[in-house]
Amino acid sequence: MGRWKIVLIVVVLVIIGGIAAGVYMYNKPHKNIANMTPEYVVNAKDIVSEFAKNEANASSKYIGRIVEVSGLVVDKTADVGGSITFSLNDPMSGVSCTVDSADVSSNKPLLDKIAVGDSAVFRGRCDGMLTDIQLSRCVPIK
Amino acid sequence: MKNVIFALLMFSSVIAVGQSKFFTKTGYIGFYSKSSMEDISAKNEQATSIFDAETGKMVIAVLMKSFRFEKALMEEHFNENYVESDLYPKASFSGEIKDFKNLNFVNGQAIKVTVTGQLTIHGVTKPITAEGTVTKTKDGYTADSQFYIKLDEYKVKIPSLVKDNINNDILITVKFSYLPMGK
Repeated sequence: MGRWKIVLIVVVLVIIGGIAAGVYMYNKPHKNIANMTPEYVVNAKDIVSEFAKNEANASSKYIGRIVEVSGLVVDKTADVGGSITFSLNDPMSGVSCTVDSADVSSNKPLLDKIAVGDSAVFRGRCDGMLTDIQLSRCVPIK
Repeated sequence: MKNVIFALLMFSSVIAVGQSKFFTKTGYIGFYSKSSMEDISAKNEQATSIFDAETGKMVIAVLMKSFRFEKALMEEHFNENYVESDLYPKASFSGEIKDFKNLNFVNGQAIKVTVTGQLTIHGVTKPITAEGTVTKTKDGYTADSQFYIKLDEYKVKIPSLVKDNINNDILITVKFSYLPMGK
């Protein structure tokens, strides 16, 4: 009788553990890019010319990775959904760093300071290239 | 002095004629799936688009990895299992506004338009038609549209385990704010 009780308790614990793991996975938060070490630290001019020379190679090198990029802010646009996009080096074919609407308020002091004409550093995830290199989920570093 | 002003006017009108292409790379694209089990939405605020205000032609390109979901796990599944963004990193649209030459744009006035063209998602290209509005603004143009797409038409597979969580009909919302290209 005692043994069955122990088995039952173990089974219930395993089930609860499984449910807890599932709930954690479902609700797990997005990676906090501000706390992550960048895999690549580049300046905007260099990453643009890497993609221009060989888009396929540069894509497999950078896409999905956390990249920290520095450059000259040539455009700052607030997007419809609340995100802010900074264009580095060139308005159409430089590097776009977008700070997601969810991250804007926690980075507000630094974001407000960065203006067109400033040098800035952003850390974000490289998503690929359209007309320019796109970094999303960016946080301003400097 | 009068000659100088005349020359300036001539010069500026030549530049104005050349300004027929408009551009954005912060275009908003959202999608929404409503089902009995749950509602799923995601947004992408980095769509790139060029609009030719002379011909009414429009091209849009978007990186699938830039779609942001509230839940990190959903974003992972979206990229890895549904749209397979490593294989098909971009979605694109190429089309035009119907009867564009007959439309009369007045600053601040929203004009109803019909856009037709080819939409490519997950490597599959299909013709689509969408209703929307285009408004000429002081600085450029804004364009808004909402339309539905069917996931199975683009070979996006919904596993039977979650078929009650994801609707095959997805509502797409598009909001673009165009500025003159080369500004």
